[in-house]
Amino acid sequence: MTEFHIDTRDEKNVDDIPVEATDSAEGPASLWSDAWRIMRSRPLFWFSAVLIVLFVLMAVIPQLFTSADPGYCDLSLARLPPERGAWFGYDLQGCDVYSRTIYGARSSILVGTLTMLATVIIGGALGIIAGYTGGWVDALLSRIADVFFAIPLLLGGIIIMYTFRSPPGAAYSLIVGKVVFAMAILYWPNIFRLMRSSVLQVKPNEYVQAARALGASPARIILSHVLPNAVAPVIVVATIDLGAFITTEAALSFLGIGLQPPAISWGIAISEASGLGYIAAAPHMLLFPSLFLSLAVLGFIMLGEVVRDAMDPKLR
Amino acid sequence: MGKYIIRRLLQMIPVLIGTSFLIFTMVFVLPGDPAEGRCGERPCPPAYVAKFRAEYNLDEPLLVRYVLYLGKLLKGDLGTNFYGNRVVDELALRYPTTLKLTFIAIMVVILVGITSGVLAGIRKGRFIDNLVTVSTLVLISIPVFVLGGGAQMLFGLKLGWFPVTATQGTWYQLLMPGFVLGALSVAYVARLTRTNLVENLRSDYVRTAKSKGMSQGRAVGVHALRNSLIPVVTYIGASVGALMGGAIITERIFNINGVGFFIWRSINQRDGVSVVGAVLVLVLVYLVVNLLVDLLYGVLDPRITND
Repeated sequence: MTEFHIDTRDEKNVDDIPVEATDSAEGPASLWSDAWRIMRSRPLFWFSAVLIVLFVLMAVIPQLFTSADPGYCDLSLARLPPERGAWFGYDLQGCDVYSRTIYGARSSILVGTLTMLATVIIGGALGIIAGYTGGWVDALLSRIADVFFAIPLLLGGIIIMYTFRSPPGAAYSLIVGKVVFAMAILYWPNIFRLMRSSVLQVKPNEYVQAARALGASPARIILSHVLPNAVAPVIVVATIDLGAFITTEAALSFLGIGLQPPAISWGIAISEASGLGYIAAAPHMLLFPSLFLSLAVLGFIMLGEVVRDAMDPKLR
Repeated sequence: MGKYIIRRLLQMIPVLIGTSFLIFTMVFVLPGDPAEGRCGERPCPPAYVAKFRAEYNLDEPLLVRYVLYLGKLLKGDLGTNFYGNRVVDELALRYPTTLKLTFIAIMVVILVGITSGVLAGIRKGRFIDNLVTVSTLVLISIPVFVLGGGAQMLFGLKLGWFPVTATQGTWYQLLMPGFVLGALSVAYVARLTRTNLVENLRSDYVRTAKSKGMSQGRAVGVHALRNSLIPVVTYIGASVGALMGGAIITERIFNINGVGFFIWRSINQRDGVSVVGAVLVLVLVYLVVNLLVDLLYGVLDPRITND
């Protein structure tokens, strides 16, 4: 989340800043290729990459990992511990916990990715506009962002999800859309602020002024000069935030206000398994979805940190 | 300094108005009839609907309604829920417990977080540093409700060190929930302390202190640490928002009868007036704490007030 401070105040040398592919004079040592070289050499990068690839595969093709139907439940098997044929045991309704845990990845990855895209698109676009235009546009957008920024993610999420709560049996895509909307509307100011300060830093550079002097349109200046040079901190923070969005979605579902059954999600599974009696009698119901959820979050946070370390010139 | 305080207070006003307007619009204006769906699973009886419409001036234009609502808010009136209880009274009953829980969490953050951050910072690259860096990364990845369930299972049921639930809300009962609630911030504070300390230990003034014969302990303790802790203090203040969100979950897990538990229960009883009132109070507390922290930052770091 925002606690990961990306130090955008570092003065970047012009040589360090990547230039779009159109400038063929750019040597091999751009910021991106440097970063990629550093990342490749770190085991943490490969560890997080493997985790993320696994979870994305789970989300896209769950059938690869399990042949059991997550919707098939047999009440006579309820709360049975792990055994052969059901590695993770059975849940309250007698559904296969392993299969439901695999299928649960889809909700988390979907919500996390969509929210990240939404915050990056909204916050990024407005941040560029505010930073590049300045003046009253900047002041207005900044004040609006302040208001949304002041509401903590989970508290605001509760209010929004409560206001737009779904009737039982609402379509899966509708509920996912609401959760994404709730988080994106509360979180875009974080990306906005980052992008704005990043643009403010890039804007006074000579190459931007040169482009303007040559008569390039604002759209062209932004797209081919400002954006590529200002986007690095946003990418880092967005990766780390993805983990935070997955956590928040699970927290909302855990409180009974995010995704709702029959949707399959780790948050719902953990919520159902959290009753005191169940923790004592069937801890496997809690353990496996919790483990997967934590590993998924770990994957994204770790990747974000590795990317940040690779891009931070101070550490070189 | 005086100028700084006044400027900061003035900046706060549009945020307060904007935030309350946003929540107000969402709850009372946007979807259909606001009097709907506030009475549990059943439709509201006409008598309650009429009372509700009168209470929130639903027949007035939007801005008038908002101003009237704001006036009530300033007088501390958060409305009356379907059960006929005033939300303010319900909150006043439960706030002490939540404050206790948050206090324990913040103490844990200060003691454990700063200590491990300092240990890691002064032994950069050694075993303890790697231990702190890796364990905080793991801690950050574990959501608070997973941590809560795990702690309940391990320390409550298996080992029996702590009570499994905290229904009475005594200090002893709240100890484990407080640790769970503070865990995430502990990780962030440890990392922040470490980063700042490492940076400051490399700075010129620490080298000067050492070269004039000051002991290592004094140079670190008096010079580097003091400067490193300024952002940490700010962070701890700012994390109150996260702590209050986390309290909703922690209190649900451990059955603590605080504000968070009240919010969770109200969500499940479809008691909208209580949900909105209680969350609004939490948001306001968060805003005020942030303001105080900003002012404190100005006191601790005079450079801030001069720009």
